[in-house]
Amino acid sequence: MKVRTTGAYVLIALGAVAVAVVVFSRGAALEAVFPVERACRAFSGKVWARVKGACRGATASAENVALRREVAALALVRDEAVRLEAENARLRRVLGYIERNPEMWLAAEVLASGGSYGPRRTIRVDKGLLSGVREGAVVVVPEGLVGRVESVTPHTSEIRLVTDPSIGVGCEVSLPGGGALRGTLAGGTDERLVMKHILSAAEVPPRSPVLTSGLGGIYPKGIAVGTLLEVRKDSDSPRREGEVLPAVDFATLRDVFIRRER
Amino acid sequence: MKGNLVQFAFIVVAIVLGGALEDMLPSIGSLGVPMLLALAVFFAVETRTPIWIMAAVAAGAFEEAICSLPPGSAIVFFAAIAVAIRFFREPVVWIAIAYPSYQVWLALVADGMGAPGRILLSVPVGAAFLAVALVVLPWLWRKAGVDA
Repeated sequence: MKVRTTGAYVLIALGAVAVAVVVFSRGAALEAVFPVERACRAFSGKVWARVKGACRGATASAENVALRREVAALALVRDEAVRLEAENARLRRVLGYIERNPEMWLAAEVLASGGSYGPRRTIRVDKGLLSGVREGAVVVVPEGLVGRVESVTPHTSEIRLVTDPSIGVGCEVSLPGGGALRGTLAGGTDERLVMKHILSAAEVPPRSPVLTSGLGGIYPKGIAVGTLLEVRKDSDSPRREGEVLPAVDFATLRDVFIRRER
Repeated sequence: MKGNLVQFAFIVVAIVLGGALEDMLPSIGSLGVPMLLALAVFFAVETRTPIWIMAAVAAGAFEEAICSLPPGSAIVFFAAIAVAIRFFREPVVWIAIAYPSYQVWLALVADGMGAPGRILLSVPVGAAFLAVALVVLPWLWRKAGVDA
């Protein structure tokens, strides 16, 4: 009986220690769920996809032919891209830019939308400290800017999306007559972002592309952010603000690229 | 001792799996599936040893990590709802109000995370899910022999 009571106390003490570790370290909780999430992703990506593929055997042959054609077409595009890449690298060297490092961008798979409460503000990906990800790193997809790494655990990173109102991204819109309209992207929703603090009174053509300005030194210059839909007067100040359609569809993000510091 | 050990293992596994599922399952009309809240409610109803409060705090900590909530926000709520269930044993009432009141709580403590529409939607979603969870979890609980 005494052994039984002692055992129960030991167990409760162990549990209390485990709970304290989880409470004081968010990383511990995220690291605990990571293997399960990774296993689920692997299952859906490998096993489930093959099961679905086998079930769709009747259409697979026709799909195969179409895909072969698409691969051939893409090969042509790739050859053109390789040629342009070589030319780009040569021009960069001529201009004294640093040579592009293929290791600079790290591909990561999206594990979950961390902000399941309220508007989508964060996502979690399957690369962390052990892959060289650091807090503050810029995250993009081919379509444009996604956000910044906010916190890192050994195997995962939490990325704060540009839709978060707390994020400010220096942006600019090129004007037809030269120069640029500058402002700060200040979050919003998945559907619309807001470009604030626009000082210039210049007229902007409709649906102009919004790019990062590089001011502030956090985000590199020239990353697509979205399309400027309209510019209106800010009721509280002499400045103007613009409505921006995001370049990235945040609801369907599957893979992202994290910028690694050299 | 063996019963306690099995119970402890069940709670740890359930919270880790519940956290992963809550993280990965698609949201219902912008509302997350309240797996961890359901677990905290369930353990408060079922367990006999003081482990229920640890389970509630651990579930709250996982909730905060997974949903990027401010530190302490979910832990305090989960612990409070567990204490309420423990000392005012009316599970049906608590099941009905747990999720909507959690949304109200989030609206108070986590800036902009509980719009009125979400709070209204959380009434049917939360009640339905927690009711299902309190049928499925007890079944698993018995199957695993934890209640023995």
